[in-house]
Amino acid sequence: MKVEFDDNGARVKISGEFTFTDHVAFKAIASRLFEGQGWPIVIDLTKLEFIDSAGLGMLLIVRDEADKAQRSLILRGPHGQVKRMFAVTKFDTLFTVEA
Amino acid sequence: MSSAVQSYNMATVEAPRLSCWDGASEDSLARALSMAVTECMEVALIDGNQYSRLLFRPRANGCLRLALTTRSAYRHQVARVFVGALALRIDLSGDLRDRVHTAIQEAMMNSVLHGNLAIDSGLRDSLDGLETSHQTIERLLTSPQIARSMIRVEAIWNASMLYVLVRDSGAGFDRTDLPLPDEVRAAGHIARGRGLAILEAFCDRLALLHGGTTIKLGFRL
Repeated sequence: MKVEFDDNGARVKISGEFTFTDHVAFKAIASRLFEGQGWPIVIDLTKLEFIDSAGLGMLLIVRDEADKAQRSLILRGPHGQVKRMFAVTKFDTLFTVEA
Repeated sequence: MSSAVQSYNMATVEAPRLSCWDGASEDSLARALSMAVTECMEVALIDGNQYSRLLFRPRANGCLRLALTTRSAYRHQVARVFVGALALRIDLSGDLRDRVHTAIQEAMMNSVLHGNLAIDSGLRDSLDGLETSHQTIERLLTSPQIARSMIRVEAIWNASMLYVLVRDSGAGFDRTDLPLPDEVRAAGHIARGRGLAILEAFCDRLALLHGGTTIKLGFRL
């Protein structure tokens, strides 16, 4: 998995594969996303090629943290296998997902 | 023919072609699974004398088998490389490659985390839990016995079906003992309970064998 933050730290673009071996890296990503305040959190998935159930679980953890912090969370641009995983697990009913 | 002796029609049966993987990288695994190979074993298993547990036999159908350690199955994106090797041998066009890749990834994750490492999924229900889970796994992998415990991935195919069997060395589980995804979430475990639903959605056939230590994935070709 590769990670790229924008300037204010509330938007991150993740690319490649997001799987169970990424849990330590993702904890660091999530911590940085919640450093700022007020901005909606955006996780850009347009370059993400593959996700497994552990990756989906990590997105759910961020959703719960966002709820606690009263921040909105947007998942942007899932496609291919990622979009299909969202459909199978009904993720599009659990998140705000933008095309 | 004596019942103790297996006979093969040598006109239709391939002899196994073996390779070894050094466990170092995904690139070296891709080379170890090159076209000429039917059986691949990680070197650490040979060092640990686990090769004696493997019974590689000639088969009339196409096959590709990989035996590796839990440590390497955890460290490397093995499912992606294995599916890449399969795609060199059979047509995985359309959505089939994504479905096979996703299902093998889920089955291997289950075999590593719940089979050989016996990790509680509930550890990964929070950001702090991710760190705890990582530390627990790294501590377990310092044990040579656990780190070298075997994972086997075996693909067998003919003109109409591809089967992939993922075997671990753990205690197994009973499918009927698994809580339903809604029950898991109701208990407050947000980050788990989806693996089996994903396998059912992405496979044409699915079976748990040998007390849950083997997951058999089937795909129509």
